[in-house]
Amino acid sequence: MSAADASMPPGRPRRWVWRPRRLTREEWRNLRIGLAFISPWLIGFLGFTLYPMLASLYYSFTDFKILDTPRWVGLANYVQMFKDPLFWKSLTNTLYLTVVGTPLAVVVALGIALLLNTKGIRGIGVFRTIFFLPVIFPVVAASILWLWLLNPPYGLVNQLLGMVGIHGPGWFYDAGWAKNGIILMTVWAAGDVVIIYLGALQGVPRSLYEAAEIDGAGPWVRFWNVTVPMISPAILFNLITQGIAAFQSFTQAYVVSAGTSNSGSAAAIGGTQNSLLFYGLNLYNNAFRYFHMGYASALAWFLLILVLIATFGLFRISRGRVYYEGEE
Amino acid sequence: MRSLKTMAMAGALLAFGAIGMAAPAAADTVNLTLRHCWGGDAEMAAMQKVVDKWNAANPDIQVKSIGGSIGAEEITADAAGGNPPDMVIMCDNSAVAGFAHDGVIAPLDDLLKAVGADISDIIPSSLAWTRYQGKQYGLPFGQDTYALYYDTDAFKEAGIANPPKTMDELWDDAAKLTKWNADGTLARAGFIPNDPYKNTEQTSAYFDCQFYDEASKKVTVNSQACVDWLNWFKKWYDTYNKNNAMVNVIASRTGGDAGLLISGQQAMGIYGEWNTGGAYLPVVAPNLHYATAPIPSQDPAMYGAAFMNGNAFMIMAGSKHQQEAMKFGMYLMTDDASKVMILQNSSVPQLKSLLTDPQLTSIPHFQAFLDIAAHPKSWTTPMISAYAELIDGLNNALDAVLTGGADPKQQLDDLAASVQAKLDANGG
Amino acid sequence: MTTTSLRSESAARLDAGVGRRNRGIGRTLSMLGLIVLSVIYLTPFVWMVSTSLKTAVQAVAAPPVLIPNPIIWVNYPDAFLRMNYPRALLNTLVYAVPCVIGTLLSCSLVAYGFAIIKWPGRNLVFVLVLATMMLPGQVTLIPLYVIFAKLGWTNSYLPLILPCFFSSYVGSWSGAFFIFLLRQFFLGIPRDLVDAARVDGASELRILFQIVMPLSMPAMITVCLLTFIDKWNDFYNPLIYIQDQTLFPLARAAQVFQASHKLDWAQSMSAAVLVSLPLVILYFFAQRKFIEGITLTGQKG
Repeated sequence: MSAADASMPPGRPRRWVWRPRRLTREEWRNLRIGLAFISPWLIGFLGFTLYPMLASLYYSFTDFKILDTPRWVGLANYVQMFKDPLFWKSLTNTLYLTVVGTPLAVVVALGIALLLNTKGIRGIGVFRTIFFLPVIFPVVAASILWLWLLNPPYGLVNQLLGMVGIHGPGWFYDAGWAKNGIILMTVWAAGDVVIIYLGALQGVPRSLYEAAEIDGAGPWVRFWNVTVPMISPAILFNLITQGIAAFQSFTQAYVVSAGTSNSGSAAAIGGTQNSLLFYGLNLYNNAFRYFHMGYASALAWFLLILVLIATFGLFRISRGRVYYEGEE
Repeated sequence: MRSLKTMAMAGALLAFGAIGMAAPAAADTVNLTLRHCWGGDAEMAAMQKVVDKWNAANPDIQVKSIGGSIGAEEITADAAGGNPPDMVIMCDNSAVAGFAHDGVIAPLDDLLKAVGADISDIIPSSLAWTRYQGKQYGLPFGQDTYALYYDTDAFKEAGIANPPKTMDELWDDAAKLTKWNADGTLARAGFIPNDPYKNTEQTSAYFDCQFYDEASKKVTVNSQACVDWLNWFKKWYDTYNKNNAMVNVIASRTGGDAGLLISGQQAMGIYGEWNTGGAYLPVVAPNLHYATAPIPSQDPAMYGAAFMNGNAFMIMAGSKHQQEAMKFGMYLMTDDASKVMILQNSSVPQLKSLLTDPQLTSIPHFQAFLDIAAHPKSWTTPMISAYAELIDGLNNALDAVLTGGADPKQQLDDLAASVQAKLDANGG
Repeated sequence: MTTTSLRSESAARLDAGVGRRNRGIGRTLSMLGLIVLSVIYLTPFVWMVSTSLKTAVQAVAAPPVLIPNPIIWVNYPDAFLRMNYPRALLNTLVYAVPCVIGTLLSCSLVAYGFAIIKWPGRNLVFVLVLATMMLPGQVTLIPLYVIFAKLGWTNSYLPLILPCFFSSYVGSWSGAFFIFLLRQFFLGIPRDLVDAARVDGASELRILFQIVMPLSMPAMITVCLLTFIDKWNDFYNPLIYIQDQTLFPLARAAQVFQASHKLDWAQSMSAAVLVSLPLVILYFFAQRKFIEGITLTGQKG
């Protein structure tokens, strides 16, 4: 299954050469049929992606409460954004999750995948099933479960810590620890990352290891000089997808802050001292609690720009460090 | 190609088919839709009983009721959309000002006049929490208030005869009632100021802290009184929250609002009147010995008063039958109709005539709440359009002060400035 | 490359016993590590089930008790009734099933258009499809909400289902991803079959439905499973569009049950088990398909 013709990494675009020429009858026919077949996507793209994107860009320059017509305010929403302490709070919370949580999940998953890839391991299917189970487990159920596991006085985690003489932290009730609780959940549910690594690891030719072994390379050297370069596309892919997911993190923090909140059911969400106010939650509060649709649209566009910059940044950094098969 | 088109159409039909068709209206009858906030089976049945009685007596105005908890976003979205209900009952009146400001709901003064309504039996302070900028935008339909629940066994054990009336007495009694474990955790907290709710609305006025000044249209949440009030919360945490002892007690609460009172982990707590009701404490904790009293006050004049809010009946601005809806609204204000829901929810009546109703006064521990409702100084949420922002910000500020070591004055100054800016932009 | 010779050389060394012992120790250590990690990963599930069968008092006992005594089976019917499980399940299915159908139909059509029909510019458009995968959903959220609210479609599943029929919803697995996945699979189908059918005068739609789709069963099943699980677990979209609690899907019903009642942990855990059980069963029956689907995602990088 080769993805070579279209799904090449965006970092190294193939050059598209537009040759204006007349299409043959056959080509016209194919174009018509092709467009007809992709029309569900085309309509969807125009109606559910392109139009709303442009509309939200427009809204982001307006004062818009859903009932009134949008009123042009220029850059006011963006100015307000940079002055809003909750915006900065949500941004730093999200960056913490992305910068601390994502690499942790990606490294732990790699460790598990390496163990699974040990030659001659039995029961790999059983282990794979176990590590993947948290991925399909409903996020809401998982969040309720971890709310319980990390309950400060009664949760299993602190009870076990207490048995070895450690006074466990307040987790979701402690602003300094709440995000670590979310990170713990993320690492637990990173089975899909494990599977992707495993696929990549199984694609590394044994011969390369054997050759390295003959050259006298120890396991550590083999790991760094053979494994890491060979699976570098998978590492990059996991970093990007997990990073984007962390950037858009919502449900866990919502369930946890509603579950720990004592400000009634109709209150804003964000956890104790807004320690779980991630970017998506701040956007949600502004759009659907305060109905500042214009301001929320500005937040959405800023998020889009951040995600694009981060993704292209990662591609940039990885250039020359990621090995694609068939490159040489 | 043709089959492709057919398929696309079939897909579209499949998708659109789920919309369903509204039943056509019969001639001469006005059909009204009521969206109400009650979702429990028993509550829905009780509300249906109220509506059925109206429908039987008024063949020309038929009301269809739809239950289930409501968020403000639903009503705003309905108003923006094509098919809003005619009437709404929200279980929380804090959205009234925002709706009024945005033109979601209709002002009622003219409608009340048009149907010749007499609202003199409605408690004035209850009418106040459905008013915005001098106009009546809703009618109260059952209300909630809060009192001090205390564990009488624990009081006996500690040798305390009467419930505290001042904040100093509350502090001293709490100290006597507090029990520590050997490992530094709390076996029983005397009093936790922010459980089960943050209790910001419930305690501010005892310190003379006003969130908003109607006359000058200024957010006053950063006044010295409010700073003192936040410091009062902080005092409890400074004394009792070593190693998160108090936070851990809150985190361990299960079993509903009064869970800590039931489990014996808290000796006194601020809870709403509904907890006395047949569906809760008498069933969940039949062996709990407790009593209710007004919440202690720093300002003696405020003792006996409490925070009040409740269920607000509103007529949507988009309704084509506002007068008929108003008639139904006034039907809800009759003793009979009100009593069904008030007894169902054990809530405080909004009608003077019901304050002495034997069916209510005979509910154990309920009298304290009826007295609060009659107290002239009982207060409610400030009716401002940016109330959600204000209360969210206040709750955040409290968190930051209690567990984040933030400076109360700084927090409240920031909050006042940001809410004021939103209000000025909104015009009220 | 001299792979063969290297391999045999290495094999010879192994036969001589060099490194074999190391490998044996390594394997044992790996096995040990995997067992320990598995226990850690499974403990939350075990604890969930254990708590769900306890009394409220035993749930918070210190030190913790693993085997409930007595076993409180009634927690399950209690939670079942209180979160109105049958209704919530129905709501979830009303959302998930049409979405599975819509996704499968629309994504197959589109993938066929990209894989089998050669039209000028298709690769360029396909890159656009892939690019939409990177868009954060929030950037389209508000205008769509405004439109659907104005249509009066809030409190219905229409705004959530409609995009599925146009292979253009965002989620853990987006419509664009499924187009990619199916296209990859379609590309692997022998061209001869398609060409022969064309010669016989079969229409493109007929080729899709009678030749390409039946041959792509594994990919179809993966698409269905992943869409189903995505919708089953979706919390965000119903949170925004569905306010009427009688219309809540399971995920939201469970969250509200936990947050508003805070009754006891045993019941919250029963609710968590009830919400996840159908998916977990599905997973155990079809785990290979799930894992194949995920392995494929890795290849799109």
